[in-house]
Amino acid sequence: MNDRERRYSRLLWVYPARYRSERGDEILATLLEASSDGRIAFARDTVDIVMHGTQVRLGLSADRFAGRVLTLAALPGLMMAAALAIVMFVFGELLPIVTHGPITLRFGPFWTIGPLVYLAWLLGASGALLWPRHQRPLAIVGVLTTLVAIPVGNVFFARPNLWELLLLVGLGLPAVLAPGTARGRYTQVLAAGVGLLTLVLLWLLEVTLAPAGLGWFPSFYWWGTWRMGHDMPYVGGVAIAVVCILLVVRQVDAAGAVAVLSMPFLMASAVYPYERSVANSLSVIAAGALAAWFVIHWILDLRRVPTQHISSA
Amino acid sequence: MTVEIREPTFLVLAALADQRRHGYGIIQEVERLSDGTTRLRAGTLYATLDRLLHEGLIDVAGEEVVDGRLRRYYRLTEHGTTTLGAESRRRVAVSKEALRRLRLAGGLT
Repeated sequence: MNDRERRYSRLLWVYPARYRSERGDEILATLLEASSDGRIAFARDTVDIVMHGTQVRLGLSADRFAGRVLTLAALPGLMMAAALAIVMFVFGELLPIVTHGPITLRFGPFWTIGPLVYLAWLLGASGALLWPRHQRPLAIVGVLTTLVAIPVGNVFFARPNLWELLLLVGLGLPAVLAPGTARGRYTQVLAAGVGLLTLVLLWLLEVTLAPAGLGWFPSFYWWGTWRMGHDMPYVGGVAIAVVCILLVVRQVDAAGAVAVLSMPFLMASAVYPYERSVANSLSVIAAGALAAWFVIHWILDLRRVPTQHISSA
Repeated sequence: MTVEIREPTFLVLAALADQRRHGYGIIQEVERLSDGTTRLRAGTLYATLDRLLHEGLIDVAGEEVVDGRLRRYYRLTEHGTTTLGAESRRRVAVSKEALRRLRLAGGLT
């Protein structure tokens, strides 16, 4: 074994033992045949193998439970993020200006720099719906825009803070991590339906659950903090009901996808506990139960012998 | 709405259209098919192969040891052949329509 072979052999340790025993010799042979000498070539191969190895190790490959779940959750998650962005924009930014006029403008005509983030998610979700193969880069743009906007908004502009935008990141992460794109005639229709349902549900909650006297009011603080902790658990509750139905009909992957997408909504009441209520407490307990179920399933699946299609060939 | 197959996946399927190939053989064929614009790296290749195996579009068609190194060969399944055929026809139709419109607009002679 020469130095080059030794270096590439060490690289394969990034894969879990079972996968290495199945594919290690084959991947090493391909690496040695395909790669040229030189540090740059080795660095590129290293990045590529580390990314694939991490994906396999975390069970995020297409044939694993977590990979399948994230693939299913990706596009609906982007649609839900777009729905949430619309509601945040209308109730958090637009209506306060309509009802009160430009009280204290902080970012152009808006209270916060949030509208930039909302736009990124809205365009990203629309793009992913029309061109699914661009789903991941569009989701990455949404996530990065949000993660940059939060500190920028907090440092360079007056309050209110924008931590609630992390809910959008939670809904977009499946599209970033998914190993593939869900295919099928009705995938886009279903995802668009999920987004529309989320929009209607959030809108109805916003209108019907508004306390008497407050009406449509009045500020980003109100929507961005108090409402987050108040309304979101109800959306999470609907998601839990869907999870239960899917489990009863033995659609475990789909149940996992809905569970993943319900997490940001369920955890909102923990992040914004301004109103202590039974719904908030229940939502946090439900989030814990769903997370535990998902992690147990994930770990059990990781212990399953992988790539049986190869060993049986 | 029909979802397109991503370009690297399409190229891997196309590389297996006429015969079984092993990992490096697929990398070479993909590079040739794409006129040198797509050079798959091993990690990306095996992520794609894992997915295609899982989706039943390809299967393993034997192994052999050459110069002390393991070669595992892959081939299209019936489902893979159908999928590649449908995707190829779709791409040809789109290309023909694009060329027709360019000619109408005077963009092509």
